[in-house]
Amino acid sequence: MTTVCAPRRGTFVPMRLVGLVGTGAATGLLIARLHDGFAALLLLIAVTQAFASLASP
Amino acid sequence: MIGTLGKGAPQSRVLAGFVHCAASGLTGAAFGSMLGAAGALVPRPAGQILLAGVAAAYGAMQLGIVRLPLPESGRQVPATWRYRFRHLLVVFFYGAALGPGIGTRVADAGFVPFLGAVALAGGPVFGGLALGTYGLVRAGAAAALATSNTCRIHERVTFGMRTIRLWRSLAVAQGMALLMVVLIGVTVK
Repeated sequence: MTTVCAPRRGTFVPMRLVGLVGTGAATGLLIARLHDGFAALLLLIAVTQAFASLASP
Repeated sequence: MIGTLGKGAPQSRVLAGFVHCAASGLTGAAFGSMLGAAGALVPRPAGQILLAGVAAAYGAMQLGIVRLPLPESGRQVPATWRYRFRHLLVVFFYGAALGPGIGTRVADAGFVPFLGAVALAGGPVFGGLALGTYGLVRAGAAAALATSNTCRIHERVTFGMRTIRLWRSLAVAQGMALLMVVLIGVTVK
């Protein structure tokens, strides 16, 4: 019975990554059309990386 | 870091947080300005091709496909500073060391294309703004955690580790967006 409940890492993780990559690509296409979109994207990345860095003091 | 910022009376913690944020924001902005000034010397087509290559390579690292070197020392901020200097000076030095993002450990591979984009995006002013934002938010988040509920010290200290999956997921999507924008050829003027 335990094998039925085991996490399906082989399918879940790639699907999540495909979703993230697809979302990122679509966002990139949208940002490329916006005025000052590149600057806004870099500021968003700055905030994300700043919060990610809290895991490594 | 959060333990150091959270030391002392509430007023002392707030003052330490401001000093830490100021130091981190200033060194981040200074490093970003230097990157932007250096990147302005790179010819445009070559710079964009280079940035696209870096974004693709480190995007693959974010997805766990390859392993590449990171611009990091791999060490934490020196603990000995806490015994050698006065408290406000320590939080200032810690802020100054963490602001540029390369003084200690790089938490996510997406930081490398971000540095490349800062260098090649729009010169020293935009470079300073982008990395200054990074330094300010990084220090501000640590200061906010340090001055939050002091009874829950475990939750404050482990916040970064508990939320890293969220930030890494966002970083993957943003890295892909950056790659697309660079491939299309849009940058800051």
